[in-house]
Amino acid sequence: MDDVPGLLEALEGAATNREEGCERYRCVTLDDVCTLAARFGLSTRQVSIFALEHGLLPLRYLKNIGTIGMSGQAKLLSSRALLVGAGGIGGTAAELLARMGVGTIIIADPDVYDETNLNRQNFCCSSALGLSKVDVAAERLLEINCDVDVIRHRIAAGRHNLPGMLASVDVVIDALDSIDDRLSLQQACGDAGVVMVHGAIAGTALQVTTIYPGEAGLRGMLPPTADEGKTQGIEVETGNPATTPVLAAVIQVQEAVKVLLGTGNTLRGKMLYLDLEDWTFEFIAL
Amino acid sequence: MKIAVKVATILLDKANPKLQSTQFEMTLPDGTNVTGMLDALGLEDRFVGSVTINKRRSRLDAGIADGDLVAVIPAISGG
Repeated sequence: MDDVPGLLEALEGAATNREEGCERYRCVTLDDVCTLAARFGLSTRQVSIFALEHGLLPLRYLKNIGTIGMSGQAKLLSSRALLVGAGGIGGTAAELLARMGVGTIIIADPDVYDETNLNRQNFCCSSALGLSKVDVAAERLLEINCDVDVIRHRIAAGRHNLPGMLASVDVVIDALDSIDDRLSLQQACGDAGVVMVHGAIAGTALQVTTIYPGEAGLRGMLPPTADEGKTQGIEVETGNPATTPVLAAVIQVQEAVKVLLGTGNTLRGKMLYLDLEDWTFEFIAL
Repeated sequence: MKIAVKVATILLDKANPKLQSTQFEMTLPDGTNVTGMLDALGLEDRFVGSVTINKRRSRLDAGIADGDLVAVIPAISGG
């Protein structure tokens, strides 16, 4: 980020020492970040990135830093994630992306909350019934982390609009609920050169894989001769209880963070299949 | 030929007749492919997401050999 005259001095003046493990950090509080953003005509995200780039830590990220470091946090704040679907997986994934500090979260979902969402969808409560999932999520995310810029698409993501949604996106989280839509998303991500982190649930089972452009991905997971007309899986019979979408979202967001930071081992080229009922834990080579 | 079969728990009651265990041995005619094995289990295609032979994803028309481990994973797509 470009230099802002006076901002570094103001941040240093506000910073206090904070010890975390064996490390000591110069930290600035949320109040200070907000005050300085207003004074300098910047967004809080810009102030947070500036602080991190100058060795000062916004206190809200203290518990992230031991894992991803100051430069990693700045990189996440400069990153853009597209979340396709704001239901069971998507609601939790949105919150986790915001708490990790992914700077721009683009959310696409045409639906409003209904009563059948109350068992599992993160932002669904009785007062939200009938409201847009994207709007409710966006408002909640801004309460959680004002550094995050939320871009709302209250429409279904499809072949016609995905190229626009994918512009300048660094990673995609697939939180859709039909096989056909997921295949279309994978195709669009491949065309745009963006990594897609797929996750799906049914009953107590879930699957996650991370698909790089040009790879077989979901095409590799589905028997090719069985694709036609198979738009949904066994979840039409098992339903989707409260636990599995949360766990799928946790794994997907951790995958997305690794993709964004270029760290760790991802689920590239393999699918994790997990069943909480009997602790089946399989990696399938794709 | 005799093969080892592993079926996801979630698929047990989708077989016809219903399966009692996720892992079992199965005897099939030589030359049986994946589709033939699924037919023998009474599992409909629409419930099946992936089939692996010896841990590698397989096509439905892939042949199965004596001693193979064949695993059946359900098609899941809930979000």
